[in-house]
Amino acid sequence: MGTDDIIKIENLNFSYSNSETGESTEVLKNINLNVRRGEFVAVLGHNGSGKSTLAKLMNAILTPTSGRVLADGIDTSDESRLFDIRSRVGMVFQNPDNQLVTTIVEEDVAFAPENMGVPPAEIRKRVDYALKTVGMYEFRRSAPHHLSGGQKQRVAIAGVLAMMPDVIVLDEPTAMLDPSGRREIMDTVSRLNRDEGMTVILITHYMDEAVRADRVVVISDGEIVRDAPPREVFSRVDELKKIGLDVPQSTELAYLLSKDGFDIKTDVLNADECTSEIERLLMQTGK
Amino acid sequence: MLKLEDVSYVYQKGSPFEKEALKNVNITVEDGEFVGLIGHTGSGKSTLIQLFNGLLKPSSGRVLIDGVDIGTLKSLRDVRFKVGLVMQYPEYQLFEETVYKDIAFGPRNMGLSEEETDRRVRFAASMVGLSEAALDKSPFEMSGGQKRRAAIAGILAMEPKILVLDEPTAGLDPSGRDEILFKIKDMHARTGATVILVTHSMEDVARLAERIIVMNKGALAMDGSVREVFSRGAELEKMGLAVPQVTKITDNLRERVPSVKRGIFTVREAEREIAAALREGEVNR
Repeated sequence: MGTDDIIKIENLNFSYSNSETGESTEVLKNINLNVRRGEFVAVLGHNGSGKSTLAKLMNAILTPTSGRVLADGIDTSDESRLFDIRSRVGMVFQNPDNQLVTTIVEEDVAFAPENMGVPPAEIRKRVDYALKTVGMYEFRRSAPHHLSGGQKQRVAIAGVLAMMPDVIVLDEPTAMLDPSGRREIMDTVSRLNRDEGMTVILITHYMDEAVRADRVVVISDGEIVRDAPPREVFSRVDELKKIGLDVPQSTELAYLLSKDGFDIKTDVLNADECTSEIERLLMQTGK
Repeated sequence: MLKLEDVSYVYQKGSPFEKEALKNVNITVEDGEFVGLIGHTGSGKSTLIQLFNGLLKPSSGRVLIDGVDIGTLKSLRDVRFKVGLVMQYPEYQLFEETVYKDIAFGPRNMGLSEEETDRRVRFAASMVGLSEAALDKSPFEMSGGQKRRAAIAGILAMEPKILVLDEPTAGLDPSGRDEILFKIKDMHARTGATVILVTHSMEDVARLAERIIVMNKGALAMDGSVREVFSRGAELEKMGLAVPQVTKITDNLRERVPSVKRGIFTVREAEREIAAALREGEVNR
């Protein structure tokens, strides 16, 4: 079976060319990126940074202009292996409404395995497993259009899970959701990685989502500018702001306080961590 | 002035799917206000804004615009021009060959002269930061952020007295989001139009609006200044609304340092308050 790196991207370049003018626009430049089995990687970048293009290159929706992408060792430029690639690398997109095709939740989840020719008894098992994993089992007989955005997106994730892929790539899965929907999806994604051992690649421009990953890859203007654990990436407040990304308020607050001369750790990622750092300082000054 | 009196709205009334989306809502928005309307999905905020320009009719209660009950009007044509509604993902509604034609669609529909239409198209485009060159482009060859701005310009060109925007920054990255919000704020300052901004981003609301209306389960849950609303952080969280992180941090710290202000929502303000507390070294144990 496969290698330890489920996704390998080697010296990848990608350009779009305009069919009318013949001009080509370079979208991704010299990308090298490996994702290990079981890893949770967040790809962070602003609109137009090339991050969504990178996602599409991972399961052969797009293929490299030069360099190569290997999904479980299979070269995505090999058209004869398209089926193998797509069944290993599942994709979840931004808009849940564009991904649901049937009128009943469980039929929707069964759609891909049915197309893949999975035997009916096995489909039943997979659909139940997938719906339970995303917490939508009790809605299996519901109509998708009666569900909330977060619920629809969880069904879309279940649809991908039912293909039993090795890796799930989520391209801004929460961009169209409200805060509770976003939380639902992020909890589901974290659980998939932690409890089910699923390899997760999350494309996002929300820092507070990237915080949950093992590793954050920052893309700006088509290039990888940083590839490190979240704490390390987010403590570079100035650098991130310069490339048009938002830093969590807690991190920015700690950063500003440290610039004011207070001895505060600047790698805090959320409100609780920031609070306890400030409390620690308060205790010190109180003495 | 926009006024809602005891407005209720029931979807699919009399069917097994009957659902009460709004319950006895009373809201008055004065001319020139900038109001943030927040609530999670299903809170009724989308239903609410569709009542503002008569897209939906209340099941009971009245919607008044400048004192006129719009339910009594024979035609809603003028209401639609007075209350401009920018729907979610408005770029999906672009359809003309050029950006110019798309923006001109509304004013032409209003029966305005070509001269006046032209003036409005150029004004609306400048308002959202689209260049003259962009006007000749096909909307379909523009970036997502530019398309969004073109679609908003299409509504602005009708010069509505009341502009309602439903999640105008959804799906945009931080810089795209800031750009649109800044343009809306600028437009509000320059034209004096009433703006009602529907969002679930507390941070956006905090930066722009003077007043916040919070909807929860079809009812009006809060209506007050930004600071008043954010001082009720625990209640907001219970409604599934995320308060800004600095609001949470300063709320936590207040247990130890009671002098920390309530309802803080910007990083700079939090920095000032905390730095002051640290410098004074005041600790209540």
